[in-house]
Amino acid sequence: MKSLTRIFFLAGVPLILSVSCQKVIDIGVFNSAPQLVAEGTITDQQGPCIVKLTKTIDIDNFAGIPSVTGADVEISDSAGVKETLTEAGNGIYISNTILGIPGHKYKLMINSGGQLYSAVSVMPHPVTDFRLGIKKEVAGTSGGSPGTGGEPYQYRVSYAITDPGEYENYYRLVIFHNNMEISSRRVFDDKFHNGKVIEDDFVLHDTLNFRPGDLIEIDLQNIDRDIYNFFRTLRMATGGLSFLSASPANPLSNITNGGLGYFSACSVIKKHLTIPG
Amino acid sequence: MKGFMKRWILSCMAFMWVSVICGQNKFVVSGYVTDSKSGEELIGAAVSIQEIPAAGVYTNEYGFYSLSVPQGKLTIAVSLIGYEYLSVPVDITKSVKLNLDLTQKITRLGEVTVSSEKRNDNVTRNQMGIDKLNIQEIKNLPSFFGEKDVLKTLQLLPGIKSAGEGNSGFNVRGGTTDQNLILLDGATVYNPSHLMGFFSVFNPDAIKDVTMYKGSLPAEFGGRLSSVLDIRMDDGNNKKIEASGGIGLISSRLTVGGPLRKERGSFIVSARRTYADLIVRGLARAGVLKDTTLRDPKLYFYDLNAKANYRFTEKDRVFLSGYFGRDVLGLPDFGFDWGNSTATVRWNHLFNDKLFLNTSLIFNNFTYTISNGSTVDPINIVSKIRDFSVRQDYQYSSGHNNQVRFGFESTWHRMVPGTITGADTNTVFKSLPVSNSVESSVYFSHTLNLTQHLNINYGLRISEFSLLGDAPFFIYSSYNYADSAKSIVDSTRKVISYIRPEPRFSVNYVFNDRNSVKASYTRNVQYLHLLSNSTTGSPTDMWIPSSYNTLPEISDQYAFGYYRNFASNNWEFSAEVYYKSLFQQVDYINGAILNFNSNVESQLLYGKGRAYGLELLLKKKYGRFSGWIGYTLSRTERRFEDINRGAWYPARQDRTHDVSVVAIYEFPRKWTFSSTWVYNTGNAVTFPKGVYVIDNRPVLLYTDRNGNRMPAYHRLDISVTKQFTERKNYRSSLTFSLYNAYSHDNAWTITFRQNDKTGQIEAVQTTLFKLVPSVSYDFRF
Repeated sequence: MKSLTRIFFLAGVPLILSVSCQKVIDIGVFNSAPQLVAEGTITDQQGPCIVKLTKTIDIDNFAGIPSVTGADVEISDSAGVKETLTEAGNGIYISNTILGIPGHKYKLMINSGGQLYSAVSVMPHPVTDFRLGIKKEVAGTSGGSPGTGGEPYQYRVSYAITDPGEYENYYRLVIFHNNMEISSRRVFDDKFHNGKVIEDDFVLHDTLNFRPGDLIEIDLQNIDRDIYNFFRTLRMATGGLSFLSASPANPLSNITNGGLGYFSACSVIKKHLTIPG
Repeated sequence: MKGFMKRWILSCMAFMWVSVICGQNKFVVSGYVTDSKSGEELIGAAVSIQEIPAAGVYTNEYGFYSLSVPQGKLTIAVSLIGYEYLSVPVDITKSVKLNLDLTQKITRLGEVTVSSEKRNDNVTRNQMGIDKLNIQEIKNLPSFFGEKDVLKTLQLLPGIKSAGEGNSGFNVRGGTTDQNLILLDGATVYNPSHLMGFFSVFNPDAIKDVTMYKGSLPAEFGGRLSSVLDIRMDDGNNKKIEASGGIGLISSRLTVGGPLRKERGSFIVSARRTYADLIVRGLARAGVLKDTTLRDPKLYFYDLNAKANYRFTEKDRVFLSGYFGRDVLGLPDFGFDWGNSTATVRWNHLFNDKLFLNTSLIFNNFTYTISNGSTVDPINIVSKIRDFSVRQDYQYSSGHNNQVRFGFESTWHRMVPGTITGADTNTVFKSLPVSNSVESSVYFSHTLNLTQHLNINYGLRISEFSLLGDAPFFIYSSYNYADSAKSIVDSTRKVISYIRPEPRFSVNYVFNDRNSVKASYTRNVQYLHLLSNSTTGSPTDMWIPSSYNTLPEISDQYAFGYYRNFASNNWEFSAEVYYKSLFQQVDYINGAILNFNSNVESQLLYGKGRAYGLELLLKKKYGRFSGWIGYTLSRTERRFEDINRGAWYPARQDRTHDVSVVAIYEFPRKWTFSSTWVYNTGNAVTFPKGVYVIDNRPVLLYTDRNGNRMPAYHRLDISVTKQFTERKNYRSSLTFSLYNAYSHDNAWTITFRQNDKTGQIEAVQTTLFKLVPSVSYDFRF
């Protein structure tokens, strides 16, 4: 898609010199009724399952996002396990015991001020083969973002996944740098590669932030189709090409009753890399 | 295909029968109206009898006319914009053949001289909602980057709106851009734009005539809801070899035409190519453009038009015409090219002085190729639409202004939504199934003068669309996901077919030679649908045929108009109102995947629309000073069950006010000044109302579709043309143009982003073109 943006830019170039001036404008005051936003994940990994509840806010007043307190939040498993989450402050609710099992269906129930919301997600089975590689290369090489920071080099991460052929698979990559999440919206499916090896690569942005020896963790999440669609449309809504869409729309949420956000049951494979010298 | 052949033969026979019963015994004057200098047939010239004002006809698309006349001494008069008025006394004792030569008034490039003849075609003509563009008019107006553009000039007329800044796409009376049928010598042009819509594929040097029908379509046209744009290519000079061309900032043009055999046949070849890539390369190498991948770009388009015609006998003439154009965009890691090609063979045959037949064989092909440039997974995806058509159009004239037109048309559409090549073994992407369909129609229309004041036209077009088998077809019980496909029909027979009658009716009451009122009703049906979720037309927009899920689109248009000419027909005024109901309109679910989706119909929503408006036009047609003021007041709305909770909402192209002012002033043989000013209400758009946070990053919250407006758009363009003194038949001119002369910041897009410092969300307006100067040099010899 990035290339497409560049094509549009390129198409404009001959017409340029005069082209493309930008300015900030005032488009007036908007009011919107606050809506509930949930971000919930249950995985097959040890550790608490976290649900974060916030609200929407008027666009011209984006200061602190209000968090939702005092809600009843419950996660249940198709096998009958059920747990009420504990409020940990700032709209964050955590579990103590429940652990995700691939193949099971999970349901999130939220009661906030008498309003009931729910979401369902089925935890996919994890893939068995996920391989990573990293190399340092000359900046501006194909696929890189030319000129970021002006460094003469960049880091390219490549990955390979052996896709199981029997189901449709959906994947999400979450990338951590020294335990800080730096990217979480890279999702893809196996439409073009069902049952084959999916190989791709990407460049780590802002090269200067990385030093040799830094730890990079990449979590491969096997997500269900609703979550794939949520992140896919989230990227459409926030990505570079959204201005070309005739009808911008909210990301496709799996939360009922007008709730926004997502509840994802996913299996995770964690792999680590070290920034080369 | 067997059924198709059968229908074809049956229709032919039906027409022959009609032609037999319509015999009458009056004398007939018939012939061709041509340009005295080049010998080219002239389209739309008004041929009348001075003694009988109501009896008048227009030459058809091939310059032919046929007029029934009483015995006696009469004066035949011919008029056409840009030509000297011609009157010929004739003594009618029997039917005669009379070819009429008109002399061009334009003796220099770009010059139009004063005329005082009465020309009131706009008042007396039955057809309403029609706009004809004179190629000279197009050439005189200011242009964008020096590229004269047919489609952009049309956008200056009431009811025809630009689809976006610098864009050649247009909306007619609230229709979407895909509801316009664009014909080049009869062949459908599916994607009429170059360079993402900034330029149209029509090279004005190769064009002779442009006629736009705004919804009140004559029965011979159909297949689209909003309009038909009928563009005819130049035939070339049949008396001597001629060349013309131009050198502009971003492209150059050259056209050569001449006789194949003197007065019997002629040819014309016209070519245009841009050199934008050279400019980009220069800028990138000089370091002006930072993106290193732009150092060796491929970026150009070219057009090639060719046409030849030959008169085998007095009664038979054959035309061959073709167009080939291509856009190439390429970066080291991404390639994209697309283009149209069309070919038409037409045979004009005169059975007798009353019955004219044109038979056409038409081919057109639109393809685009995307190569992803990935080093790991190189993929080329090719998408195509290919049509083969055959059509016959009969024109029969009898009595005063009593004209019958009938004929048939049949087109085989073959659509290839995506064929993949070059993929490695690791890819399982299958090419999408190819669809085949046949779209056929028969039509009949009759124009007659009931009294001296009243003339009517009634017609019927019956169209039929069949989707043919061999691809799997799905029926979706509910949208969203492919799994809702209920049953799968997989057959090699005809899958589904639709037959839709399309009645057409219009009436014209002429109070006197200066005043008239007209009314019309038209039903149009559209069987092909364009899927595009982008504000700018893109070559990747996909056409799909009507199927089980997507029904034919239908529109009913009611229009009423008042027409008035003043000051010896030097000024004309018209007011038209219209109301249009649209059914089976197509929109998309949120987050729709339109490209390379074998279940694309599961992403569609169906609803209805309505459009209504008032169009005013005041035009000064002749004289040193000419131009017009157009104003449109309109509303366009849509209603879909799943959008905005089922309420009517404004369509994107809904613009309340639309104004255009065009002025041309000429000093004969020296200078031409022209300017255009446009103003319109901004498009309906969806702005976010709120914001929320996902993964600690802001996400915009949208509530109502198209609930907001872009700022109003206005722009002044001016141009000056200097004609140089003619030397040995070599004529030339130099044109300077200023686009957006007062450099107004028109909003192309408004996007939202988070301010790095304050953390607040702010709206950012992007202006595409501020003041753009350009220069071009044109020549002819």
